[in-house]
This record gives sequence, structure tokens and C-alpha cells, in this order.
Amino acid sequence: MLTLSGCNGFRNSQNENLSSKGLGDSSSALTEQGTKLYSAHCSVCHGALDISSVRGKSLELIQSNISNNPAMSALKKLSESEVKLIALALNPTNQPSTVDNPTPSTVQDGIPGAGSGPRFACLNSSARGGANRPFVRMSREAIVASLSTVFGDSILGLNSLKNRIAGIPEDRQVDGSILPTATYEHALAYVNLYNDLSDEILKNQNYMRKYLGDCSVEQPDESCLRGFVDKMSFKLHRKFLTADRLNDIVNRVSTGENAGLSSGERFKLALMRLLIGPDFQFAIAEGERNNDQTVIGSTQMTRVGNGAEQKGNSQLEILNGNEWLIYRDNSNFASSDPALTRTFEKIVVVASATPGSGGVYPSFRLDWNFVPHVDRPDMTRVNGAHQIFVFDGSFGYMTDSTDQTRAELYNKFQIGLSMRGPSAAQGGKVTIHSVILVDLDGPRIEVVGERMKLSQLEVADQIALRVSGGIPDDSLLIAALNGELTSSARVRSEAQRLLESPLGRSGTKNFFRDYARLKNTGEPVGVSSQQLEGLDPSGLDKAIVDEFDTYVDHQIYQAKAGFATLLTSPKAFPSNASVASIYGVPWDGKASSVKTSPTHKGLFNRAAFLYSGRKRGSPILRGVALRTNVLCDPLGTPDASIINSRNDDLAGKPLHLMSTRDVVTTQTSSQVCQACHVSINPLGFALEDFDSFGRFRTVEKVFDENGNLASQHAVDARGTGIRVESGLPEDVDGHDQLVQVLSQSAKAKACLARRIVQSQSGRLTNAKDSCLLADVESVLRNDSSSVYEALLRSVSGEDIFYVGKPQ
Amino acid sequence: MKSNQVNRRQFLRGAGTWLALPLLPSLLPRSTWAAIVKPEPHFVGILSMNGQWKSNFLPTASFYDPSNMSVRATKSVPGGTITVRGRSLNEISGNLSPVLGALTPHKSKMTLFHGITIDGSSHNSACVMTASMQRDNDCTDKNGLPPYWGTSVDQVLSRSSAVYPNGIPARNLASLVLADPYICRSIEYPYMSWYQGQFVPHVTSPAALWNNILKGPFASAGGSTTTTQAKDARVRALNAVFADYQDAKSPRRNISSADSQRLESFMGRLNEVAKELDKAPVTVTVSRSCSAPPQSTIDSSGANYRAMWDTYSKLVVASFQCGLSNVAAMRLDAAADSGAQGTFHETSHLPKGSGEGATLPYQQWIAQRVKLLADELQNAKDVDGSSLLDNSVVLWGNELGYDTPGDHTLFDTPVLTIGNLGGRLRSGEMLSFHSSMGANHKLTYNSVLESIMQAAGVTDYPTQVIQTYGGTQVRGFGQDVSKNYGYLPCHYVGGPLPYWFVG
Repeated sequence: MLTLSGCNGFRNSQNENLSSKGLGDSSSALTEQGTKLYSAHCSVCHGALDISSVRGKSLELIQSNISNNPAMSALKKLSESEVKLIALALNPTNQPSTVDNPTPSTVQDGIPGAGSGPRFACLNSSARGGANRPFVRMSREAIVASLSTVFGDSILGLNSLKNRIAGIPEDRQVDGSILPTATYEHALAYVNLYNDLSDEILKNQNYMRKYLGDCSVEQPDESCLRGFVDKMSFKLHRKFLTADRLNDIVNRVSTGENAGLSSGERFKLALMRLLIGPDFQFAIAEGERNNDQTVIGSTQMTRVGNGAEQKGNSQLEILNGNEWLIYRDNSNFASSDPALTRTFEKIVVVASATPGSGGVYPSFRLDWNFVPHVDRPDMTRVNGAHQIFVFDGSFGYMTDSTDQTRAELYNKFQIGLSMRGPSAAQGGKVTIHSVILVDLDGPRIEVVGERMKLSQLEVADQIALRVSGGIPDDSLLIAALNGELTSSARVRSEAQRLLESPLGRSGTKNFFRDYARLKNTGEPVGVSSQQLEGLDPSGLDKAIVDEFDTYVDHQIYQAKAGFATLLTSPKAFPSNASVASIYGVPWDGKASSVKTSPTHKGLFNRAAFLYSGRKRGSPILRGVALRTNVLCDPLGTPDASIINSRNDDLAGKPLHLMSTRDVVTTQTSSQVCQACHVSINPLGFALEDFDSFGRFRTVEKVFDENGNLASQHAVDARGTGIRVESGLPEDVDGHDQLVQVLSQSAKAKACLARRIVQSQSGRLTNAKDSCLLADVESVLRNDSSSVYEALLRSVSGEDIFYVGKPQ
Repeated sequence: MKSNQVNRRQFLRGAGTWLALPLLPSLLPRSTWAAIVKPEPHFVGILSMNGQWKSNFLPTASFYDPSNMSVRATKSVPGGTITVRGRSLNEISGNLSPVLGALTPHKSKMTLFHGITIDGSSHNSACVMTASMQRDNDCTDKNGLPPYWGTSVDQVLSRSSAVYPNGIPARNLASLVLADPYICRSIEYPYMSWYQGQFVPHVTSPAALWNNILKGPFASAGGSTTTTQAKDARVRALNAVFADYQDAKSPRRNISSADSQRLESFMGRLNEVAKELDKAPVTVTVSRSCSAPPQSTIDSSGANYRAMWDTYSKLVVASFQCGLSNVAAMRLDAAADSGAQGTFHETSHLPKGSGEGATLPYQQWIAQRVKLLADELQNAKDVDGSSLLDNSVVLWGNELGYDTPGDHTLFDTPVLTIGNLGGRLRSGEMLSFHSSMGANHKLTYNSVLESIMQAAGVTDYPTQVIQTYGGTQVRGFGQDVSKNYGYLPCHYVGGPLPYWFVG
């Protein structure tokens, strides 16, 4: 028997409040006991403690429900002290009132809140972003998307690498969060992937041409390796290598156990080290530093072909027809210019090229030098839009030089650009956007409060990981390097660009597949031609998922649909005759063209959502998906032995003569089953006017084990007591009414808001997300706004600039 | 037996017909003598397709009616009891069954199972070797990735020092993987054999098996050769990257102590990988004293199909006999020369009444191939003079169940073994498993593979479980042979199969 005696010594002002609620004393040990008791006795119906549907409920309410609710009668065996401990776990003293529960009200609302009102409220705007984690393990999807960003899609399409990627354990959980810890299998799978990826890249160096410049991996030139490591590291890690780390990487590949490696093997080893390293396996935010990036030349310098050139206000000297020189002389600096008295480790030049006529890119090279030193050989050719040149400042002289020598050096700081390639007639353009001094050891900005402001590059990381699922692309990195990611509007424009990109659209598609809890159940199994009634089973499962994807893409990106439209639109996008027949529309031979279905409305009437591909559809699975994913109501895990027992009871019944509704009703009729199924079955039954392929029906045909018609039943698609939220109808008749109710549901909109934030952030939401959740919810509640806007809103608010303080 | 005695395997190797340098045991390390005097376990996994009709595959129904079988063992499982019933196959005077007629001469070394279930449905060949349930019913998930293909039992065996006490040979030799390039319908992944994040390459023709895998080791047979592998690039990279993890934990990086521990944890995983990859160099000992394997250029085209599989079997047995490999896996399809009407798959969908006769030629064709393999193993001598089959187990599984035209489920699936791993498995019986919870409750197939591994002396196979968020599923991951159950009402008995596994 557990007891609370002896714990009075823990009483303090905080748990005085708890005591006043009748919850007794608090301590971590007691909370832990309560957590265990909750897990053992309550979580099956109310979900895990952190997302419990009864979180915040008072001791009195819990005791009352145990006494009066038959479904909870089994808990009468608990002692009073044990119930108190459970209540304690549900009411932790050291947390602010939760975001999800700003105004606790009805028990049946998974996201509590009053009727049609908002579920989230911005409780503390100064905490915005404080829930973001400064340290996040990259998921499998993030790693793959990042590799695609760096090396392109084509290399990942190689069979050998596809196999390796397939070998990475899945780690995104059903709520969108990422498993926080990696397993041995993860580690091995990543090491194997990077090994093979490096081999493929070395076989075809064009995959990393941007980072090699004019060098090749066979070139036994250390400066080539240094330049490669510096650039590749920046791209993969979204931060600059310190001189020490750069030196360590370059030295390590040619000494000790690696002495005697070929040049190619050294490149491979360095690349693998960067890929396996912590800054690619994790997204680590360290916070903003003072003066970490100083743009000393942001002027646009453009050269068009061999013809007229444009120049800005930087010093520009035309050396000859194809070469320019940009330099700073000390006349531009005051003697007290901080840039002259600071040390720095990197010089970054952001440049880009655009092709001339015929798509011919100019090639160009960049050199820099501090006279009297000789030119650095870092140079590259461009065959893409953007280039970021990272020059190793440690070559220089700044750390032990005097102010006077620094001034002399700056006097002759030069970046040379020579351009080749297209003829004057063809045009082509090379632009230097900015020259940036980077200081990796600037003093860290003091963290005030519970949130830490991010550096520009870290903001870029946050945007990219949330929208495109991987690391930033070049455009986003350049915006960060130029210090442009300081306003919500600028962030929004970058987020919008990424959301519209192929990676962003793919992410949106996957999000909605998860939202609708789609399962790839395969082609029809155990179904006779009599039941198929003309449907072609070959590839049907994939065709209906394609239709789902097209529907989502259309509603989100083209129609810019609001929440209600997403759930009620009659549009359909069949890709073949079978899918067209499911939606009740004529097949005109035009794949994925917009049709108007007379029978199907919205996301949860998609065939992919309704499909089981078996003899019967599943009201239970349909109901569970709506209850958990659309309404965010937690459901526990059913006891396998009870399910087995129920199935045994069914075994002796003439199932072939029973409607699916009757089978499910019988199967779940016991009191213990009803504890959860009372919330599941009505939602599922309201979709009984669709068969196991998603076809509308008014009569259910039941087939026997030989595929012959055994019985027919008039469809009863009434959902009685659907428990969506107070103020909305409790009873519906059929799918049409059901989706209307869901589309009006404030709780469903709040749930989608939460799922969007959780999916994009890869974690569960908590109290510090209150403002962001309220933002996104408000967009979804606005009938004139769109789900697309909600997806953008989730990443373009103030929250994106912060993470929680490391603790 | 004295430890410095020349054992039979060494004698056979020395007395072979090929040019041979006699092996002098005194020149070998003592650990090598100790390891090679004992016959090593051998395993062949065979997958075949499209299910079986009980009336074709099993003896007559009265033979395995529970009332006619003896209770061999019982085992408590959650919710009830599993009863193992058995009956000697020697009680059958003629052919075992229409399909198994060809294998009747091997019945004393055979075990025939009834009442075994694999979780899953639809074509699911991978499960036969892995016991992993498929991810849904197709071969890809929403990201186009393959389903959960658990590490296959042949790969677990081929990495074990219990199966290779003299050292694990190179990957291609450790498990000879012979398969048609088909398992999944929608993507190109050719075979289910899987080990620690890698698909294991398969061999598609005897010529390839000979030219790419066996030819070299056979050609250089004689004496012992130590091959020291260059340090793996992966190990070099891992050795280097630890400095970066240490650096990431430095105060300069401003990460919390909790996050520092997460880095430390991942470093630990990487360190385990490095240790695993950096194991001592492998010594492959080959001999010329074994029977010369056939050299074949046969491919899988047309009428060569039968000859191709028979050549495969001979190559497998030769490689076992010569100590080149102890493990092989084959996916055995049926050929067009079986005299059947309609394709194998088409006939498997025919209903009861017409399906039995239509599929029979195909199933008999496959049984003939299994028979040839068993014959070859029976006729080959192991190091102690016993039949190679005595120290082997041939597992013949099926991707689908009994009597399931159209619905393609694995509820009660055909399983048969030949050979008993030196008596560590019981043979000569039909075993039937019954649950006190009802006729629909079967015994999970996982235990079959677990029994084989333990009988081969492998006890450290991984049994990882992924518990998804909210605890809604326990699903296959990695080998997972002891934990992967729960969807269908089938029961895991907690270790090897009672009675069948002798120990």
C-alpha cells in the first residue's frame, strides 16, 4: 500500500496550491509513483501521461468518475492514496498551465476547450520559440533530404544507395516526433551509407564539383583538400570550421594509420568524417554571437559577358578584358574601424552565375590575397546558380599581427575575379554579392530568460528543417550569410519558396498521408471478381494513393483551400477508370484531371482513406484515424488477450450473414471494449456508406469465404454520439453529415494546428508553443484563410528565431 | 580424441584427388585443431512460392488428426497452453503425400510441421527466412522504401563463430545466396537476405556462383591462407570522427549536459560499429581434398531451369564439403517443364476442387529439386565420416499458407525440414501444434528459426523490438525472431520449439 505519510516536510508554497486542490503533497518521488500508477491503470484509455486527455483533472473529479463511471469501475481497487498519486502526476506543480489546456472544460474534448472557441491562447509571448530544441537528432528523412540538397537526387537514385537508405531504421513516430536516440542499427546504417556514397562521389566527381573547384581528388595538393573540406564542411554543417578542426581533418587523413593513403582515399576519409560527424547527424544551435558575421562588401558586382559591366560602390579595377579586381583600401576604413582590430577566421565570398544564351554558364575563378602574400589558389568553376566560397582565414596573419600590419594588409586586400566561358554575344553573368568576414570566437550574446536567440545560419537551419525537411539550400544559406533573415517577412518568403519546392511539396504530401493515417494495404486480397464489380485490382492501391496526393496538392497549392474546403470539397482526381468508378465520375481518359464527385467529399472521403482491399471495410480503423489524428483524442492500446477473446466469441457466429456494423457492434459490445469504442465506432459507422474500396453504397453486400454473395444489408450509416465537441451535432447520418461536422469543429482545427507544428518541429508541443499554436490555429479558424497559409505561418512567426536555453 | 590427432577432415583433405599440400596439424594453431575436428553445422534455406494444398503436401488428414497423434510436450503461453503432438513418419508405408513422394526416402531425417503461422499476408517471401512481418502488404512504404526485412537467419548463422569455428569467411562465402531476382513486385530489391543494414548480394546463375564466388577459393585450395584485410575505410573515418564529437561537447559549443550525454550515447553506438568492423583479420582455410564441384555455364533460360537448380545444389554441397561455406539460401521457383497447365501463380489461385490438381506438377517439380539437394548432402561425407546431411538442416518454407487460394495468408504455413543438425533437432516425425485457445490459434514461426539457430549453437542473435509511440505495436525489426508476434492470434513459446529442439 502506498502512503503519503511522512512527506509533509516537502510542503512549500508551490504545493500549497496543490494542497488546496486536495491533492496533498508533492515531490518528484511521489510524482514518479503517480506516473507509474497512471501508466498501469489509466494510459490505456487516456493516452500517455504527457498527452493525457485528463491532464489537469482534479482529484475530486477523478474520484467521482471512478465511483460513477462504469467503464472506470475496475479502478475502484485503487486505494485513496494511489488515486491521489495519480492526480498528482496529472497536476505537476512545476509546469505552467499547459498550452493545450488554457481553459479546461469538457472531459470528452481531446483538446480541451470550450465549444467552438479556440483551444490555444498565447499565454506568454516572451516565451516564443522557447520550446524549440537547440539540439535535434536528424531523422532519416532529414538526412536523406540533406544529402539530396548537397549532392542532388540522381546519386541517391543509384541502387546501391537506395539499398543503404532502405537500411536506415525509421525513426519518425506516429505523432510526427523523432525518436530522440539513435540505435546501433542507425549508426551502422549511416556509416555504411556514407561509405558507399563517398565511393560513388569519388567515382563521379561532378557530384561535388562545386566544392572541388578546379581541383580533382587525384590531385595530391593539400590546398585542394583544405579548400574542399572547408567548403564541404560549411555546406554539410551549416557552420564554419574552426582553424583547429580544419587542420585536424587535413592532418589526420595523411598521418598515423592513414599514412600512405592515396589522394582519393584522403578525400573519401575527410568526406566521411564530415558526414558521420556531430554537425551533420544533429542540428546543434549554439546561439548568436556578437560580430560573428561582418559583411565588408555587399555591393553587387556584375559582369555581363565580355561586354558592358556594371559596378557598384566597391573598388573595382579592370585588369584586362576578362579579369577584375575588387579590393578595399584603407581609405575606406577609419583608423578605429572595428574590422581592422578584430580577428577573424574566414572570408566568405558569396557569388552567383547565370547562364547566357543557349544555357551556357560562364566559368570563373576567384582568388584572394593579402599582399604581399601570393594568391591563394582557391578557385572554382560555376555550373549552377549560387556559389559560396569559403576561404580559410587562418592562413593569415591576423592573430599575431599589429594594428599597423593589419591596416597594411587591408590596404591590399583583394579578391580577383576572372571570367571565362560564354562569348560576349552569349552573355552570361557573374555576380559577387557579398564579402564577409567571419569570426568564430566572438563573445556570445548573453541569454536572457528561457530562450536563446539564434544566429542567422541557425535560423536558416530551422526554416529548412521544418519546411523542406533537410538542411538549407544555397539560396537560404546566402540569405543567412547576408544577414537577411531578421524579419518574419523575409523568413516567410524563404519558407514559401521552400514550401513550393519539390522537397517541400513532398513533405506536405507525406504530412497529409500521416494526418489521414494512410496505410499501404496492398492490392486487393481475398476478394472475388463478384465483389470487385469491374474494378481492376492491379495497382489499385497505388492509384488511389496517387489520387489522394493529387487532391492534397491541388487543395493546398492550387486552390489554397481552407480547412472546411479541404474536408468537404467534392473534387476528385482519378487516374484510371477504376478510380473514376470509385468516385462515381465518368472516365474520360485524362489522368488526374479535376472531376466533381457526386458521392465523395473531402479528405476523409478519399478512397485511400477508406480502402481496406479486403472483404470488408473497417469502421474501427476509420474511427480510430478520425478520433486520434483529426480530433487529437488519445486512445490506448487494446489488450491483445481481450481482442483474441472477442475474436473467439465471433468465430462461432454466422458472420457471412451479418453486416459489418453488426459484426463490429458485437465484437466491441463488452463494457471493457466500450470504454474506448464508444468514441471510435460512431465515427466509423458514419462512413459505412462506403465499401472496402471506398465506393459509395446504400446496400452492403457480404461475401463468403469463396467469394460468393452471402447476404445483403441496407446500410445503416448513422453515427450516434460522435463526440466531436460540445455545440456540434452528436448524431449524424452518413459521411456527408460527418464531414460537415468535422469541418466546423474548432477542436479539429486546433488538432491540425498542433499536428502541423509537431510535424514541422519533429517534437511534441508544450506550453512554450502556446503562441505559435494559437497563431496557426487562428489561421485555420479563419474561413478566408488557407491551410497553405497555416503551413507557412508555422515557420514564419517569431518563434523561428529562438530555441530554448540549453540546460 | 587426442587434440593433436589428425582428424578425418584433415585426412580427407590430404588424401584428395586434387594436388594437395598435406596439412600438418602441428603447424596449425591449437585453436584450429580443436575447431576443425568437430563437424560444423550446415544450413540450407529454401523458399518456395504460392502456398500448398494440405491434401497435396501433408499425409492423409487422418494421419495427423489430433486423436491419432501422441502428445509430445505442452507449453504455457499467455492465455492458454500449446500442445505439441507428434507421429512417426515411418508409420506411413508408401509415399508421404502427393508432393512429398519424392522425399519419402528421407523421411527418417525429416520433420513436417502443422500449425505454424507467420504474421502477415500476401506474397511475403522475406518472412520465410526472417520471421519478420511485412510492412503492410506490399513491398514499399510511403517513402518508397522496402518493408521491414528482418535480418535473415542465414545471415545470422553466417556471422556466427558457432557455425564457422575456424573463422568467418568473406561475405559471399559465408552465406551463398541464390535467388531469382524477384521478391517484391514493385521495386528492384532482389532478395530478402539482410544483415546489419546491408542487402546481401544474390547469385542468379550457377555460372556466376562458380565464376564470382567459388572458383577462386577452389582454385587456390590447399594449405591454409591468411588474408589480412586492409583496415576498412569506415573504421578509419570512425576513428577520426571521435575527435569531432569530443569537440562538440566542449563548452565553446554551448550545449547542455543532457545534450552532451546524447552525443556521448551516439558516440557509443559509433564506437560499437567501429569495434565490430575492426575485428581481427579473417583466415580462410581451403582444401583441395574435397570433391570437385561441377563447373557450369548453365543459366536460367528456358529448359535449362531444372538443370540450373540441380547445379546449384551440387555447388552448395561441394562448397559445404570443401569447408568453403556452411550456409546457403535458395529461392526455388517452379519451372515450365513441369507439365502443368497455366502459370504457377495462376494455378495457385484456383479454388478448392481444381487447384489441387493444377498446382501439383509445380509442387512436385520443386520437391524433386529439394530431393536432389538432400541426396547430394546424404551422399557427401563430413569430416568425421558421417553424412553431411546428418550435420545439416534443410529448411523448406513457403511464402504462403495451406489451402489459401486467393486470400494469400500465412495462417498455417507449410514448413518442412530435412536433417537434424547432428541430433540437436528431432526428426522423423510430423509435429502438430494445437492451442487451448481455439483452432485459429497457431504457433508463431519465429520459434522454428530460433530452434535452428540454437541447434546450430548460435545464441546471441539480436532480438530488438521497436515499441512505437503509444505502445500500439510491437513490430519486426532486425532479426527479432523472439519478439515478432502479436497481430494474429499466434503464440510465441518463449524460445525454441518444445520437443523438436533437443539441445
